[in-house]
Amino acid sequence: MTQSSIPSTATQPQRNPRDPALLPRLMIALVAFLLLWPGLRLSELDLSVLFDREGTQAMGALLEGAWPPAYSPEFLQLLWRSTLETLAIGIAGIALALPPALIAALLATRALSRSALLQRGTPSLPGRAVRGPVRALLVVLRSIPEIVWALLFVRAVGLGPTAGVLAIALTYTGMLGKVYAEIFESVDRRPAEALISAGASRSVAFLYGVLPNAAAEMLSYTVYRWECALRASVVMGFVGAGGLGQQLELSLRMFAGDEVLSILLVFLLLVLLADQLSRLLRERLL
Amino acid sequence: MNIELQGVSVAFTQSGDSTQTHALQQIAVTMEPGEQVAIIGPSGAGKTTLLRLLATALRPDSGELQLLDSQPWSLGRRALQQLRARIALVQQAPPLPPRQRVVTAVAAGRTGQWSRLKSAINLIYPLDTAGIRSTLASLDLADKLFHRCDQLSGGQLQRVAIARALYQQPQILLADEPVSAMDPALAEHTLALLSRAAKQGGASLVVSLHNLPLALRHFPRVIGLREGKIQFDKPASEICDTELEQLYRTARLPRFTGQPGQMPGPFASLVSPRC
Repeated sequence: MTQSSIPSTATQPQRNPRDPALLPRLMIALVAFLLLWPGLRLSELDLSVLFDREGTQAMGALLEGAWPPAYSPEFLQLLWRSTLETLAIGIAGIALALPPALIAALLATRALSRSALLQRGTPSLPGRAVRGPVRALLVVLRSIPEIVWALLFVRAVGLGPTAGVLAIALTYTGMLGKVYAEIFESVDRRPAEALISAGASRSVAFLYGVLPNAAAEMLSYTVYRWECALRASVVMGFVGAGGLGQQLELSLRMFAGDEVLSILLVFLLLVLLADQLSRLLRERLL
Repeated sequence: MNIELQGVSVAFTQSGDSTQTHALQQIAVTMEPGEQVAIIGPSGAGKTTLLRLLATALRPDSGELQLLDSQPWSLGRRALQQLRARIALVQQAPPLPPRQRVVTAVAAGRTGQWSRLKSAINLIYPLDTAGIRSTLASLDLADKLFHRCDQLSGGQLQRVAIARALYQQPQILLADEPVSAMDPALAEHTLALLSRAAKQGGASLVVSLHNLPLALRHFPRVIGLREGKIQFDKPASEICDTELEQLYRTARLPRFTGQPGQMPGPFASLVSPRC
């Protein structure tokens, strides 16, 4: 022990206390490793196939057939229509998902728990009784992949974009609701507490204390989800839910590599667009 | 009687072990309407806890607490909310959302009195810009009306928090270290403003302060708090050096061991020896 200017009390041993976070951190690292290893084994991951001779040749052939991308006027017109359809599916799906997701998030979040806000304690029993089922519903909504919903809706409402919109609306209600609820819980809760102790109601405390802190993260997550919805709508096109996906499936089936490439290029543009939109919104609005 | 505490104790259970540490023990204080009181004491004495208690942000573990002639913790939810709208607390680190505009942050003070609909509309379109502007003007912040809170300095944020409390027009005005991030001249001005505003509104004013000269100069009554207990509670003019020494005497920190004469005693110039 080096010489210290602070006289230590006689009763305590002259040892620095160990960092209490050390043991949990070591345990987490160990558990992560133990989970990763069987994961690698079970998924039969073998990176050497990528450098296999046969594999590279097949990929090369595919790329060769794809160049140059298709650009005949009829095809471009078709592509334009499907692009608009895909955008529409993404926007309509997210728009339909937003209101129920917001309501579910408000019901599910602990950030607005009266008992947790006022007494800094655990939420009350009735509060948990409401929050539990809402959370369970959100889990159900997002645990079923949108492609399954799409298959169901294609049966119910027939081929076309409507099935895609409904599938996205359902799944994304689950995702957005869960994440919004967690964003509400993660932001600084002192502003809301201060407002409550100045006599504001919980809804007002939410509007003035939680929302300003949560808005930026909510916005960027929503735009990111919209981007995901665009991608999902392509996958769902394969089962007949309209948009670029349906076109992609047709082209793949006809082994038209050039058309596939054109569609993928449009797709790249859409994702880039979503990215730029997200950046613009965050810079301008917040 | 605006504030009445009898035998009030607050205990915190420390995480890790089950021992309870008392933040406040057997506090008994009464304050008349319009009275102005400073709370002084070393760090960790329980000043913030006492203010949070008075703001009904914290529930006492034992004892009786009466604010504005009602017992807050036996009230119904609606009545408690109405009582809270009449009490304002300026916190030491003002909890203002960084992205909120000053005009909204100040307006939030009155959301306890407004209906939900009015509060919601005000969020989109500020309804009382003139009133908020004049409140801010008294704190020399009128030009920051439409700025965002994260564009302000620490001292400006403290003044926004004070503006919110003043805009609330409370009957009990509490402030926890309200001038800790301000320069001396501004601190003087702000304390004088708090005191004047409380007088005009007939509100009781309770302020915790680290700066002893300010406390003794601006407040007729001073409460000394140490280790959760009231050490003294008397008019500022009757407090003497030895009491202040006793209040701040520390067992844990080492005594200053420099050359004699380098540092004057911390309380030498504060009060003349009267007792």
